[in-house]
Amino acid sequence: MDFTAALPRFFAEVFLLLLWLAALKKKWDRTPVFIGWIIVILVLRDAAVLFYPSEYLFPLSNLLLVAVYFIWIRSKTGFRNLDIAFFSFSAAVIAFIVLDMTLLNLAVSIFYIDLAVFAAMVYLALLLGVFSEFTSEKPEIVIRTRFAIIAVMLLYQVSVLLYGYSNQFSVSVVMPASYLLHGYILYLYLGLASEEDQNTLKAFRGDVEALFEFMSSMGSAIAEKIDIPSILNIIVQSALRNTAADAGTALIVDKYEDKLNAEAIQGIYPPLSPVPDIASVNPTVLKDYFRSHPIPIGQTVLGEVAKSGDSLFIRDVISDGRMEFNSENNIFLISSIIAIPLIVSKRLLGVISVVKRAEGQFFSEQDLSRLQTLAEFASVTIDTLYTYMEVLEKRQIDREIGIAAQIQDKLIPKQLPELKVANFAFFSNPARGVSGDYFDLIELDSHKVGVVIGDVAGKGVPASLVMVMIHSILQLILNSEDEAYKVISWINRGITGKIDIDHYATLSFFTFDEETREVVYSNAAHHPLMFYSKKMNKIYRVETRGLPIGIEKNSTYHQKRFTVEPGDLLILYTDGIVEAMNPEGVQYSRKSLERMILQNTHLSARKLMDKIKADLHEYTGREKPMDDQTLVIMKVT
Amino acid sequence: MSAPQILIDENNTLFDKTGMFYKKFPSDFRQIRYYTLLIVEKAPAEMKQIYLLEQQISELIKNAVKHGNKSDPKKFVECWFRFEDDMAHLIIQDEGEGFKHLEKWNEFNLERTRCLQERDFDALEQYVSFMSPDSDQNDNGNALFAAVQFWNAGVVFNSKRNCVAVMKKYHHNKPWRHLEED
Amino acid sequence: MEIKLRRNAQIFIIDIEGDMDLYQAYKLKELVAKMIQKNIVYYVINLEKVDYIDSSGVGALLYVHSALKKQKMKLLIANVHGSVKDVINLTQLMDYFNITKDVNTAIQELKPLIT
Repeated sequence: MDFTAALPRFFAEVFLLLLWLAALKKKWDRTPVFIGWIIVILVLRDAAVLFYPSEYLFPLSNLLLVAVYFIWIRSKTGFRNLDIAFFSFSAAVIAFIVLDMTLLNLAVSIFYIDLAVFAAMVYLALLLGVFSEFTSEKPEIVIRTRFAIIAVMLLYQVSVLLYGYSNQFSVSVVMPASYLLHGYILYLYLGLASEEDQNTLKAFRGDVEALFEFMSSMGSAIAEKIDIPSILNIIVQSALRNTAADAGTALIVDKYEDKLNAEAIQGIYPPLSPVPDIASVNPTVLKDYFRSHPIPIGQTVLGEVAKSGDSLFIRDVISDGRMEFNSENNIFLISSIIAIPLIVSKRLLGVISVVKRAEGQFFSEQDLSRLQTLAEFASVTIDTLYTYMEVLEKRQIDREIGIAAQIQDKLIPKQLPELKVANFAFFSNPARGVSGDYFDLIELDSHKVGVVIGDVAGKGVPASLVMVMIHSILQLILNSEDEAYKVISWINRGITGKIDIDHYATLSFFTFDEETREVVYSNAAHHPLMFYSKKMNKIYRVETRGLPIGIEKNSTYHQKRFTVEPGDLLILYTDGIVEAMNPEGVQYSRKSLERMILQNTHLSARKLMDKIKADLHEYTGREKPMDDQTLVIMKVT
Repeated sequence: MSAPQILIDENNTLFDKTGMFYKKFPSDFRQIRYYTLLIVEKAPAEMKQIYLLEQQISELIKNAVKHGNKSDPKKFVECWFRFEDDMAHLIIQDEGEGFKHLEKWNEFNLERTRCLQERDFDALEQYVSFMSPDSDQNDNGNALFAAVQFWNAGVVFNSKRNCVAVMKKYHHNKPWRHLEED
Repeated sequence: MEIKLRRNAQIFIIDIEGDMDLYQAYKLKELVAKMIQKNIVYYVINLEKVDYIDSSGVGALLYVHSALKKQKMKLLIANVHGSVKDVINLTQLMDYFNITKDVNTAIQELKPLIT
């Protein structure tokens, strides 16, 4: 070996060095480190050969090269126990060569040493052969170069075994070619590294596009209808696409309880805690299981994300060990998981999560950051949606109250009947915008009036509708019938029909005939009629038995007849009057009402009403009543 | 998930009647839904799930009327009730001898819950209806199964078991959880 | 509460309208008992027009479900919605009953079983 023969190798090494410097600039994986070692070994070897021309330097350095490649591959797949055998073997051979060269001088045929190196190379070739892209990090470079490595390496060693180191072909062609191998690896490395740069850019652009696409599909979904589940589905679909996940889910915190409901699921998202055996064998059951079993906040990793508000990224679930249940090779397997809380201004509204379900399949940091961006956007959107829906709901309630108020407005008697021998007064105060009390004063003919009062159960629009129905039926009946108990019977029959809404009410009705001064009264579970008799200076309670209307179609009702004298009073009232409470919680009661009446029997109906109103106000100490209050007074003159 | 239990605790805070409305009804079976409406109309209009609340209250009243007072209109059911935007609290009392089979019911419910958790629908057949010597062909105990789920802040009987106190808490109006709370 | 009956080949669809409550629920039990006697095998109970159910209604469904199961007849329940769904959820029986989204889905599911 002389210098000139070594020249091509030195050129090759310079070439390698330049490539290597370029490769260092890229940060894709640690391959340049290993190639660096290779270059060092080659340079040292070629320099050493110039001064110490022993053929043994070649198998020695070659074995070292094989070792470096070996470590390179293992850095991607992880070391196995059998590797110890390889390293021991190599170390032994290297030690032997060194000793032999320096001390022992056994002059063992180089052939056997090269055979040992060949054996090591075969083992490396096997490793390269079984190298799997599914169980290693950044496997591309190994995959792309492995056949070249195997070919060059074995070819080189076979030619060395056959022809030795002096053969012209071996020296000028095969050896430099082997250097090119390392260059080839570096070259590919550079290619892969810049490809990744391109990909990152594309991915970023892809992210933005995905976000835009997502925003526009959300926009149209919202424009069509606000259906939170379908919008959540769009979000989960997007998450799946952008992270190449096998399954994903969006969980929303339950409105009433401390748990997470799976509102959207794409793919088969496995349960995270043990399920009954029946679920584990039936895929349909499994699919529904996740959806139908809410996760209590704090339980399983998803519940913990909801509790803490921290994101979760377990790249390799099996190695991590936290999710034991999902680490077995069965349908519950999760190989990689990301879960991100949906948070808006420190309020948690749910969790979005994606999983991979194949051994060796993992999410990357990029997937995590993509999902985080998506989650942020989704949170804001869902927050806005819910707020919008609340506003709608509130507007609907307001509208309902508005409608009910309008209906009631139409029902209030606008004019008091004009009779010669009686005058009337009434007041009606709703507790909360819309009253459940119904009352009316109706002229039956020129000398007869009907007075009705009632308390409809329930409130809002349904109660108002019941009132309209009572009113309409009353108007209809009074055309042909005015016997008090029959009137109530008819109203009851009409109301207890096939109606969807709750339709119960108490009702009191009496007629007063100016000419005969006769009162005919009937009652359906309402408060009794108060009758003040001037002659006796006493208040009587007039009542008849009967169920509230709306309970049974054929309920029977009864009536009472009596005549009245000038100065007599008839008073009808609802719960809100007698049950009005003072600040101590004591009810106004019938007694107070009776007292007020007895104290003011000389007053007109109107003045009496004003007095009672004032007294009530003073008693309760409040402007707005707790319950609807209605009072109707008729005074016989 | 453990099965919710019905408690017997005379001195439970749920029996505190301060600030509650009061109504008393004769035990007329026909008027049960009417009585329910009289109670529910005191609840705020914005209350969540008001139809479900109404249905659950009617079950309690039905129990008091039918089982407690044997539908005898001479006997009364007394109701104390209080509502807030996020809470419903009721105490229902009848004049009967009390729910004798309460312990049996708790055991039964435990088994029922176990069958449900394991999705063992064949075994569940035995536990879909709770029949006691006092049941008739229209009873099935499902009212109580639903009640223990619905009244999430407690279902408590007094020692005589003829008075039950229940409370429902709704968590928040929006599906938010405030993280600072932890 | 009103019950209407209709047929699709050998499948009988029971359309219920109104409240399945303590006053009305017994009607369903009576009807199905009669139908079992007539050897009708395939049932779909349609709750599309039912907005209210209480424990008596649930009891009626349970009764019908068990009776049919014993006779090895088939029952599907369709259109469980709103507060009816809420109540059945409370009793945790959503998975116990065979519930389908709508009547058509139920018919599709039953068709292949008809021998």
